[in-house]
Amino acid sequence: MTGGARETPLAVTGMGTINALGPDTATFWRRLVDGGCGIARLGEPFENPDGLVAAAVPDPLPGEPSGPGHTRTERLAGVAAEEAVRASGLPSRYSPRRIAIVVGTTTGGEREVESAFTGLLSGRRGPRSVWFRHDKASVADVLGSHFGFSGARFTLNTACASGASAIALAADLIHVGLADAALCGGADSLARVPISGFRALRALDPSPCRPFDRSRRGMSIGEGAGFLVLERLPAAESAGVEIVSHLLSCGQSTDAHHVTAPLPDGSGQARAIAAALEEAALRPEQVDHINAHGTGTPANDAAEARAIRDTLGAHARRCPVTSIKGSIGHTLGAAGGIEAIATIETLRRGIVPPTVGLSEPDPEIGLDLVRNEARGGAFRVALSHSFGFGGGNAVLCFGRRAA
Amino acid sequence: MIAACITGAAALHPLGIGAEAIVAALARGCEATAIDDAVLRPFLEPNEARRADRLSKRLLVAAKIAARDAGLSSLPADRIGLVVGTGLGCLERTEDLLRGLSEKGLQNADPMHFADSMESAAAAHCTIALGATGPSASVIHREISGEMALIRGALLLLRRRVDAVVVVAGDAAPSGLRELLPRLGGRRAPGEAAAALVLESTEGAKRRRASPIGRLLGYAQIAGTRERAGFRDAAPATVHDAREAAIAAAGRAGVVPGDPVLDPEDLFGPGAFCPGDGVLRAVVALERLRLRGAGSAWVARGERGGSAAAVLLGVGDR
Repeated sequence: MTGGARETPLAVTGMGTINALGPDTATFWRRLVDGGCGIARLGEPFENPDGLVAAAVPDPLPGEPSGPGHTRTERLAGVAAEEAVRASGLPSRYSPRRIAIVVGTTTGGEREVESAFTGLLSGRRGPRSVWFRHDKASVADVLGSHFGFSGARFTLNTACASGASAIALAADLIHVGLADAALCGGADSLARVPISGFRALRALDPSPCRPFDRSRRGMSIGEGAGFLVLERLPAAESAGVEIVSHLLSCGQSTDAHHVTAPLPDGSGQARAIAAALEEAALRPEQVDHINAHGTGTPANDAAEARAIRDTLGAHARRCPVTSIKGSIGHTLGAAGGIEAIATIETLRRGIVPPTVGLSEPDPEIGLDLVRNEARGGAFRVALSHSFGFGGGNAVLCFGRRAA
Repeated sequence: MIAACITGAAALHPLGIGAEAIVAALARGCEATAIDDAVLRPFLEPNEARRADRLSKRLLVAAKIAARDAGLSSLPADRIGLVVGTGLGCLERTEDLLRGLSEKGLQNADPMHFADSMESAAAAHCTIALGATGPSASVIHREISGEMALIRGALLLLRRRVDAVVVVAGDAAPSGLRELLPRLGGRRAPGEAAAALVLESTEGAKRRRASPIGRLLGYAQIAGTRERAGFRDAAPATVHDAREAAIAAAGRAGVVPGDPVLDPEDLFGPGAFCPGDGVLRAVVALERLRLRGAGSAWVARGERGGSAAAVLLGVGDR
């Protein structure tokens, strides 16, 4: 959006998540506020001679709505989406052809394909059907099949910004009239490829990650799913459904710098933040809270901190910032969806969860970091940051009510 | 629905580079499925040639050619977006990585293979090469990945998040996939394609005096509601519905149903397929329209999950 015209807010009428802290929003939020940590030694089915840690969703997974015939990512997505859709009452209020599904994912069915590929190399053919699970679009199709939604349907991969990019695209679809409502968010499951890949890049902390900490050494990989239901505000108000938040804007940019590393000066991320503020017609000092990307890697946290300081100016030192990746790990494509839910809960409940793992803030960060325990306050506007491998940046701006 | 101008195009196909050469070669019959690496070399920097995945290289070349064709260097970098469409993703690096994991275990992955194995890597390479810092994304939707990438690009324009967007789509088939398919009982050979279109708003193109080569008139997607069903395509009725929806969205009731549409087999020969060839088919359709002087055509396809997408293109006043 350009010209300073204020974006019309969308209503968030449903949300759902499953992650290492719990199988639903209420459990997740309660444990998050209590400083819970779902990061532990990586176990079966992964070999782990180094003692790597990760934030795995405890097994067995809830059985509904998808079952053993589906990939783990599909099942995680199904659980989160079911909670979101049930809360919104969506199916009874719109034609199925007017409900969009937008999913962000980086792994899709990679976990299942890995096993099959190993078997194939050993001469075991296995079922043909497993080869379709590399197909990331199947997550959206499983959701579409389960709920009967046949509106616009997209699957995106912008690496770690996938979930947030999916929410941004869903908002676009509603704003231009291609959908009346949307189920949107992200899902990813642990798989050997990303675990070994991030390990090879020396991006994993051997202990649970420590976002913004002076001694931080990297991220902790996680898995999960987080979905929102978006719809037009007047329609939601007319229907009398509970509106948990307003999506005020979505800011996006690209670093165009490196296939893995962010721009060190944070300028790409700053442009996404600025775009979100411009689209919502907000001044920096109106931002009450930031749910940071905060992976715990030296490069990301430094760049993100600089981006926040550059865009918020003096207000950066007064705006409470948290990262929840110390609690649930970096859930890759799911991060944007899950962290959007945490951001929304902060606005609803008036509580910022602590940054678990942060004991001694890096003095170079220069932000008001929430650590040790949750912090209360009156929060009306909050940003949720997602900055991806390869430079894709997405910032979501939520409001407790139209600011 | 706002029509978008098309101000740049590029096409890479096993038979050559450029829509004109491809159309001429297709007229002589076509059986090839792979794009030779040698044709890419003049367009790639040494580090791009060395590091990028097979798909990324092809998409990168298409994006560069289209951006140059459109003269995008005259636009501010943060107003240029990029959308990648791919059905198969960066399979070469994925296969390298999986093979390494199988042979050497989780501890010995090649870090460069991992970074370049994700679909988002192709977008990263393209945005770095073009210096495009506007919004970017990678769209994955099987056999309609190209069409869906065009729709996402058009939405970025409609929402004024960009002044121009490079939409690049394709797929590449590494040797492993070629060996694998017969073992899985597959009957179709994977074909390779990479193509790009540059979309701009009509006002934006006029403002910088760009010369449109065509227009994006309308688009639509109809989603299926059944789960994966193997290699079966979407029902013909779904493709028809998508086409009709695209025509309706464009407000073009007068489009003649017989306007040219390219069957995938027209591009690669019998039995071959390339999931991400939607933008290539759009580029070739535009070239055929250009040769006729004017007209409109739709590029429409179904995919095996039951969805279909259609994009309506035009040249001239129709």
